[in-house]
Amino acid sequence: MDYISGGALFLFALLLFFQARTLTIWGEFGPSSGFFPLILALLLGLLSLAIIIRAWLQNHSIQKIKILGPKKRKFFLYLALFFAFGFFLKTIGYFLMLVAFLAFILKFVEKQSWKTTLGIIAISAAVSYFLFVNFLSVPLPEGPLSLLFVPK
Amino acid sequence: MLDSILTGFSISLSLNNIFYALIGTIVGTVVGILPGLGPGATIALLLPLTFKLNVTSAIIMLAGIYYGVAYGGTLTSVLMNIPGESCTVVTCIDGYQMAKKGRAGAALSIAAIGSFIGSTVGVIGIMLVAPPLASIALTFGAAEYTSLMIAGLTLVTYLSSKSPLKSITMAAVGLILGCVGLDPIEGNERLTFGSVTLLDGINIVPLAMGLFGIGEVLTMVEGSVEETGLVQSSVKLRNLLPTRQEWKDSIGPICRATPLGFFLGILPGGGANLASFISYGLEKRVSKHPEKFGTGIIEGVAGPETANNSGTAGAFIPLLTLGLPFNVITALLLAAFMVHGVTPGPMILKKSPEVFWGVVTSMYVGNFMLLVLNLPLIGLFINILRIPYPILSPLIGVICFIGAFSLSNNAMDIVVMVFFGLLGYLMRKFEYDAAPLILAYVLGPMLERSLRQALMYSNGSLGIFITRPISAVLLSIALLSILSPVLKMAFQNIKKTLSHRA
Amino acid sequence: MKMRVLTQWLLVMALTFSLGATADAVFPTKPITILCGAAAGGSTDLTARMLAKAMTEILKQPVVVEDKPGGGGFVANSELFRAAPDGYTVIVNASSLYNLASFLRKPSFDPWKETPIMSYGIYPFTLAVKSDAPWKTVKDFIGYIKQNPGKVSLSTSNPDSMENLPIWMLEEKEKISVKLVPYEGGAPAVAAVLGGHAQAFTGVAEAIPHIRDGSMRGLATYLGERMPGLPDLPTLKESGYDVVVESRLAVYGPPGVPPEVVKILQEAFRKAMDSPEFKKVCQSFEVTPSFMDSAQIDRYHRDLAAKTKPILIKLGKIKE
Repeated sequence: MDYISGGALFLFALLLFFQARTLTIWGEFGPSSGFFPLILALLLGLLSLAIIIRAWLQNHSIQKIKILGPKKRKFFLYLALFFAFGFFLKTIGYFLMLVAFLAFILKFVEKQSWKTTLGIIAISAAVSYFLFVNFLSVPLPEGPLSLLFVPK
Repeated sequence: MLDSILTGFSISLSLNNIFYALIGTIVGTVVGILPGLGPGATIALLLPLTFKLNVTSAIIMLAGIYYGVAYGGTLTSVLMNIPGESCTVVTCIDGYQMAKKGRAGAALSIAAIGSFIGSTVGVIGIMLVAPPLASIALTFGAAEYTSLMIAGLTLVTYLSSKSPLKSITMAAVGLILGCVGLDPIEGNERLTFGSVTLLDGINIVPLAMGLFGIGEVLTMVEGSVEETGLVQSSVKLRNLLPTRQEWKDSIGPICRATPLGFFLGILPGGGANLASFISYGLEKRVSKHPEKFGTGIIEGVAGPETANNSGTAGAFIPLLTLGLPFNVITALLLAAFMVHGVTPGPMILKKSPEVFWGVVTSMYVGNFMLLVLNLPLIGLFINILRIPYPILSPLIGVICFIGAFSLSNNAMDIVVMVFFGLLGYLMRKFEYDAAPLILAYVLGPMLERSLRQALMYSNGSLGIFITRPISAVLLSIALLSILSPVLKMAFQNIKKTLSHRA
Repeated sequence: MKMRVLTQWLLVMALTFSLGATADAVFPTKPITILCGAAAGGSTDLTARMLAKAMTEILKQPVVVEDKPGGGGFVANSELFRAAPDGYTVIVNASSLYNLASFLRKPSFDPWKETPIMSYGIYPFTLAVKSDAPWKTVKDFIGYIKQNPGKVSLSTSNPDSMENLPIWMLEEKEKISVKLVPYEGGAPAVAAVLGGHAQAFTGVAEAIPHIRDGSMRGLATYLGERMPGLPDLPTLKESGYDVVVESRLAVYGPPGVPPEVVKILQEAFRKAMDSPEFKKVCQSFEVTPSFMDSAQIDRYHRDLAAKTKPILIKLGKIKE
């Protein structure tokens, strides 16, 4: 198991190493921009190697660990929806996104009843509105609904 | 001085000012509960409203927000493993575990009480030693900071319960993440891969919320951990309060954390943030059962919570006595002072003592109010845990999204956060701890900046770290901290050999 | 008959279009956003907020400030370029964006493409030392630097903002060399001087309260004229050094904002500058209110950049 994580970290360290080389390493008085990233890349490289070696010494088995538990589909759906929220927030606007997100997750992923789903959506939307828009004046992206919104 | 204090109380206990303090603390608690929602933005927004008030009332209200936030952030940390503010990240570690064991009420109560004690003692500290302490804090230069950061980093291994090798690795990753963005000294872009979102570095809010909050949701959803849920079996008062044993166990941490947090808070550069981390490390170090940390014991909550509140109080000292704000919130309070025509600084005691004492005494009032407000509400908040997971999970997601977004009105921060959520999930699976990563990530840039500044001052000579006394002391502490387990083993071996010989 | 219908249609269309045009002429018809690249509570943000408040009354439309701190203003400016050039999104920038940041760092946008609208103030600049320091004038200080090369450090709040520029200019003119140690903000930089680590502070507003209450001594300001709130602080020019550096708070829009809209915004901002709240905030932060219209601020920034570039090249900070 540690082979995988050690390996991944090593690759990361390698990437870092090459990135750091594009920066100046030493400046007038001492380390410059690239110094720390470089040292850290080396350090991480060593540490990840140590992890791999230790795994080998301790005879870790190379079996395929169960990364994904029984509910793979749910996991990926959640992940996808989370990313979607971020990517599309600006285009669709917060409230539409909220409704879509909650509706999808509660109804299709978590298989709640329509009553529960709509109830939660209503409460969340109301709370979001009063708390954020009215009370705290946090600018939530409006998207196409901007016509409905007039800030205080 | 006694009558100044009394005058101060008469001001802060006036009906008007109690009201303002109440508003401030309530708003602050709400802001603290909502992850990512910066107290900074809130204070900035409310600032114009305070123009109509007199300066003391304005500051009382705005300061209320400040410590309200410290209280509020604890709630989400314990109940949902979402760090509300960066100072409550550490509370997630044991606090959430306690919640899983059904001891959420105890955790929250101790946090509230510890916070109250921390703030109150902190305020007393302000009253008694503010000016001299402030001058001492000023002597902390770049070299001292570097050594302090190094000493802080040596605590990294204490933050994790798993293999030290992995902790150090996580710390290295944390340091690397801290390098993303602009170089602190020269302003060059580093590791940003051309992205505008990364230009300012990875902010701690999406990082911590992602690793802890989203990571937790993903882990739950994935289902390999049983969804036993956090349902409190009963909401009886008995179960809400800490047991006698827990009370006893908390005394030590609270006593140690208060001065620790206070001193760290005085230091320029956001020492209050570090307070909770260092307190956790300290508690683990002096505890008789360090291996229990991370499984949900009260010491892991009592210490850090107290430290971050006394740190908050400590941060007021440079503001009030020197007129120097060292974090966003105190900077805003300074702006508030200035807009009202009062200049905090050495002259404040001479020119506007009633403002100084009014504000300081209102801190007592405010903290007391928070305690009174929060304790009964704990029973209410616990009910959040009763929400079944299928509904709670997406809601946690939404809370995190708003938090991440409202940081800089940037939706890409949400994507960054989810990315770290995925990372957090993988880390759990592969048995890596997030805490050392976060500590290193917070300390890293400060360390680098101070190190390079120190070298600029010394024209490149490393000697500066040893020739300056405070720095030398801190470095020795760091050295001892690393060596002590080794030394301990060595001593034990020597003892064994000697007793064998005898 | 057909001609008549056609002409009637043409007339109707012409009317509709002209109505549409008049509708545009009654800018603004919806809320306006002022972006701010600095954090909430600073002089940039607060002055912008006061102006926004006043403008809401003047324009009869909500005007709000949106803070997008990060990257020294780059994040907010990137946002500006994504907005439509219709005048509903504008930004407040400091002069340093146009003449330092655009050279020293390579932004993904071109700040010179932005539409200048107006400028409303000048940032305060100070060179200050601890009150118990032996130097009473800039001359004293520079004399000391000459006698102690390599020993003098100045603290600044930012590696590449305008407060470094006058020091670079002085270095060049007087053939001296000092160490500019950047901190993560004005407060730690001032603390460095108070704690005796750096000998002087070059920066924006943070030293002013200390100068006022006596814990720091101001040596000079880099502006062309003395600042209203600190009438005893001589300018660098008065002290005998021909260096004037002024950083302004300037309002810009995305590339291509129509001139009529610019004019309306310009006038609204100018009227807003009369508001007592704006003046109050300016006083507290020692921002000198000063109006420049779009042509003036454009010329000002271009001149400034033309002056700065050769200095930066000479100092080796940028290549040709």
